[in-house]
Amino acid sequence: MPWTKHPRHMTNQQFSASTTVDGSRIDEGLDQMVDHMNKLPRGDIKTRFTPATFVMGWSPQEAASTFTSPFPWLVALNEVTAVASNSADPRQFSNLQRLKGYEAQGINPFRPQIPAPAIFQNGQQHIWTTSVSFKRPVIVDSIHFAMTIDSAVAPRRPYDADWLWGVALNQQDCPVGVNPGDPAKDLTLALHVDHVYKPEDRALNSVDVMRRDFPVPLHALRNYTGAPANDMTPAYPGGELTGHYTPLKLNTPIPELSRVRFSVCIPDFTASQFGGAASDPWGTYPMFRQCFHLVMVVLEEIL
Amino acid sequence: MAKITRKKLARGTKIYPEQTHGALSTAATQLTNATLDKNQFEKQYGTFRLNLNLPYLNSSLVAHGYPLGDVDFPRYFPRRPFAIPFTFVPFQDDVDITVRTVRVADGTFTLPPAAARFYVEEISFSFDQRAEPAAICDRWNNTNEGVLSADVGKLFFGSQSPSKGAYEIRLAIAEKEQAFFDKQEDIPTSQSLKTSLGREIWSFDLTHLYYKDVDFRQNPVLIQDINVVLETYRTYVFLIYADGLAQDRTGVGTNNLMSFAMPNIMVSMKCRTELVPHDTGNDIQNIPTHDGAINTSTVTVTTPAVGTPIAASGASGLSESMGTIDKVIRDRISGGYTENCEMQAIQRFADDSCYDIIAVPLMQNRREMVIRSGTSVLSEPYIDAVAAGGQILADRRIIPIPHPMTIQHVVLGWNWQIANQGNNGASAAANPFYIPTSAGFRVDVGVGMGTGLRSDRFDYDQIASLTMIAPDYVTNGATTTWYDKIIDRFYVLDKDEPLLHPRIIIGGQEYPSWDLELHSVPLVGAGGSGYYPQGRPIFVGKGRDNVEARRNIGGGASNCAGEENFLEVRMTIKDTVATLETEPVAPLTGHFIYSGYQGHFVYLICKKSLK
Repeated sequence: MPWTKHPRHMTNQQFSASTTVDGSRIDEGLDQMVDHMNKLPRGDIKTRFTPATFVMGWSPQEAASTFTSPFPWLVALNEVTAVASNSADPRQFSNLQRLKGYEAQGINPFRPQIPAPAIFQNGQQHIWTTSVSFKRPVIVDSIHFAMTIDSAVAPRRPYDADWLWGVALNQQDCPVGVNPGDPAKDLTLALHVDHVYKPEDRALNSVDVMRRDFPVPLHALRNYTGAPANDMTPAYPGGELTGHYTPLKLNTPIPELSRVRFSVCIPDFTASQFGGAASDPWGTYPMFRQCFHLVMVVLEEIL
Repeated sequence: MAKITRKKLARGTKIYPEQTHGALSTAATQLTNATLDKNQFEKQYGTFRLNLNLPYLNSSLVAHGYPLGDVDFPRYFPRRPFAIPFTFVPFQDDVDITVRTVRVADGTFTLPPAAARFYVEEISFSFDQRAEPAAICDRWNNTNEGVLSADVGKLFFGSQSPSKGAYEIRLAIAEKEQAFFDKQEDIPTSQSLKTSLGREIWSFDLTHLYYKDVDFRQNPVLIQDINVVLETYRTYVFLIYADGLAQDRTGVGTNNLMSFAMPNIMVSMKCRTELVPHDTGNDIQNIPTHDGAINTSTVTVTTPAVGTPIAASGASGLSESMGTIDKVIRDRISGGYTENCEMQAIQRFADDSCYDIIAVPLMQNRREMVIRSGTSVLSEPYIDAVAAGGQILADRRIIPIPHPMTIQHVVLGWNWQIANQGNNGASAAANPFYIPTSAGFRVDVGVGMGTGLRSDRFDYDQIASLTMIAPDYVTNGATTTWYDKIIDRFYVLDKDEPLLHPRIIIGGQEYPSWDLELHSVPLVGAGGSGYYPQGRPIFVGKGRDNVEARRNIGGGASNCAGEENFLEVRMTIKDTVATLETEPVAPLTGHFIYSGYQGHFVYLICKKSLK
């Protein structure tokens, strides 16, 4: 039987030829339709989401200046060397690690940074985590992560990261599987949600999005090189936009009452057996070598 | 368009076509003309979030070197929050301001009945604890004066002394009237007296118990069902009190200090507001040449002719007509822009947009927490010891455009808040802060849209810009332009901090020493509305080639030509008269502050479309 129009979405009254009908049924059917039209439920509206934009970022201190504070970057591993000098003994840590899937070549994620002897030097990793709690279900529409550095022709270049293993490095200065001149592949981006019943156990977090093991410098901010045809004001001393850009188009649904975390993890080959004197590919104090820009867009239903 | 009504069927009377098909015809007309009203929606409100991110707050916010138990502590250092100012400006078409007449009449404003209003639904507050029931140490933990701690970023477990946990936090929102409307505001000749923080309209306490349990910590914490009304033309201040970040200061020079930080603070304030129609017309700058005109499709309901039976089926049948309406609704109705700046293929309702505010942080996370005069400024990026005018402090944020919107206003929340530079009283007493007195101190803020992210060319269009020169109107008199676009300015505390942020009065004139300011950053072009003259709203959105053709922006063709895919917000600080290292001279001591603790926010006030 071919499909025919019906009013079943808006009313439970149907009228067909050769069936009985009375005024009360017609009244009820039309009333239901009018009531529905005057109070359209949320599900009848296809475009019922509004985007909310989270903007984060800063230009850090120069790496050449005296180190003051790494914030908001925090060392990835929670172990005995991560405890303050005047703290009580925790006896055990709730979460030795608070992120999944961030292992980088050349850094053992289960061991702390050990400065000496050289053959045991491990390096370390730093994590920047932003968390938000949502009462109602949301959709994470997209996440945009960028790291900008100064233009090669800028007169001063405090932000000079290149995310490359130096071409002059010896092979033994590079981890297994990495050659001198290779791009860094040790940046990790993850969107994860706390477990509903054990929210403080990060091992149970649901990782909704993970991006890792990709060549950082090859995901460039711009394909076009050179200055803009027309610039905006004020002029920026670091020159035109240059750097890395990762756009994540997600459309990831998040349940109600979720605690959502977005984490960025970068490696630090300072005091590492790899990377050479320049601590390639991220340099000494890797959190100070580039400016950070993070935008997250979340869709929320009308209320 | 009003709600649909219908005539009831009376018993014992004839049934007329208008009784059966009248309401259906009205519904068909509304769907055809896209005049369905938000009052016909079960859920009538759009939402937006004011998202404020801080890289950290640390003990320098509250520590002034005096032990918590010292007799001078409460007198000299009243409980001091970190404050973030913001304001909601109505859409340009709803702005109706009568500017003050100096020393004669206050300014006034009128809101049309349909103007958007804002209700705070929920607030999420979080910071990073490294997933442990511990506090995070800052740069001053367990170290002597002037010595940076090796404990920075490390975990501190156990109870904190003497009387409170590290994270004894209080959140609050204060509301105040704006100096813009005060007839006394006429800098430099007279100043508004409405410079105190105003009244608290909401607050919430987060004790250390929220953060110290092993199995369940409320971080992020979700504060629900707030239902506080926020009004336009008011200044609001989000306050974070965190007294416990500085503890156990037993005296100058001792290393028995506990100092903590809250890394990566995220405040997300969700608000609901009425849905409104999107901007239309060729006076919207950079709008695609479709000017926001909607696409419609005819929905036909045929009323039976006079004298014909009212049937169930057939072209004018009751079931047929009801089915026509039912199918349109069951297929779900759409409105607003697509991601590519096209209008929806078929639009069925009018109120397809709502208010949005995007907070863009600038000048955060500086090495010395604030940017100040003296040799420390030479450690800032891009700064060398060169002649005046050759030094520049700069920051920028890149914001990819994921969805189209019209930018209605841009507001700068400027921050002069200070932070203690040391970790005990010696540095506090010797280093008060002052607003720069130089006639050449200059801040430039710009908002632009660009095409260039992973694209074939690179270009910008200016959206808004502001230049502010010489905030010290006492010294620089009529040459100051700092207050040309001022909306509000005020102190966070009712009384000054005599050691750190003193109020100086010389010759009967008080040196400017407030903490926070709000400035309008005018849009390019002309013919718009706001606190000050500016251009009409500016449409931004990345489009395909069928929406590349755009109306003018700033009086000329767009450089981005419909291909914009990011926004950029820049700020530069420089001094064209004195070098930035130049310190204050007598009777002032200490330092000039160039940029406050954890920087500033630029607010993009937009109208966004439903998606």
